[in-house]
Amino acid sequence: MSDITRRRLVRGGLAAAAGASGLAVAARLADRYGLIPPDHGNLYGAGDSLTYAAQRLLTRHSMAREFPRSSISKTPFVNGPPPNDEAFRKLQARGPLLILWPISGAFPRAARSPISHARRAGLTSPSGPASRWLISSA
Amino acid sequence: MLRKEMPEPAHRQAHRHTAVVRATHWLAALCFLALLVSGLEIVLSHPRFYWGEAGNVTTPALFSLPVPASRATVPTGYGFVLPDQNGWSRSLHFEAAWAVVFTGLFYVAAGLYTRHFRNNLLPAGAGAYNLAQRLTYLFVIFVAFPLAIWTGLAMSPAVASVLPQAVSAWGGQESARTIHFFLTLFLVAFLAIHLIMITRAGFGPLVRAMITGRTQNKERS
Repeated sequence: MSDITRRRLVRGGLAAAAGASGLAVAARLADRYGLIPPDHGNLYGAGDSLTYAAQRLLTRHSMAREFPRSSISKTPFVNGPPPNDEAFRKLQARGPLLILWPISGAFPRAARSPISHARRAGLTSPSGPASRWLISSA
Repeated sequence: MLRKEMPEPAHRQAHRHTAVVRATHWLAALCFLALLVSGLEIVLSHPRFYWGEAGNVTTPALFSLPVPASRATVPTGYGFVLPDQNGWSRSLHFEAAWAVVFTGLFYVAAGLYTRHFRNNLLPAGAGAYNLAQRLTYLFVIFVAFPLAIWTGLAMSPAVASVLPQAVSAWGGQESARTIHFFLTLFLVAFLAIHLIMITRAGFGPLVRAMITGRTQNKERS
């Protein structure tokens, strides 16, 4: 089995050459169709590239899994339920808070940031639980 | 069928495992080790398990592991938070998963071609393994690993968006995750018993046979 013969050597060499050139062609094709992630150069690049490419090939015609209306959660979950303190109740009494995020990423002029909005709403600590909840819900 | 009736050539009788079996065995072993370590790190992010489609810290857990979490937002009852190693763990887990899938596909294709399954693993064959070994190996190769891959893919939002049936067949994403965990426990138990049996039957010769393919013990070949 492990005897090295010329036939085995030639066959192995041909197979290795075919494999290497096949890989090179596959990599070039994948690069052309945008299937190589930008951070592919590290230790996990091979696995990350395969996952990235497989996801892009698979999800050509799908965006996200769809659920029936009955699957909507009864309890809000982002960072858990809203805080049950005086500051948050005061803020809640002012009615729904709507912050429109412009696509450019800049904050709307009326509320420079959710934190400043929360601060103006009477929250003393801008990094407290109430303002964190605001940021995640906004 | 034909091959079984033919006498093995003399120089082949000393070989216990073919090169494909040896290479895929060690590749799979390496991948499993990587999957186990990275999977453990991933599960520490959220050591609570659920049943059904949804599960988070606001829903009751089916059970939870008696370990601290690596996320401060996951309540575990322990006073401290473990370091979060989720980044490289996830990359290593997926890379090892790809490697074990390719290794497994190559092994199964080669095993069908060389009649490895028919001769050595199916209960009616005439190889060296006993019935319990054959059934266990077949279960690990054709049931446990494929199911672990399926339940792993069922946790992927990308796969779920294309093939939601792959998730709903398990009763939901969280059920798939819980089954993925139990499959891991089964495979760890298999590895432990496998190592105990190898040790009892002669660790050195059997490991040497799985590395070089040769065995000194004529009865075992």
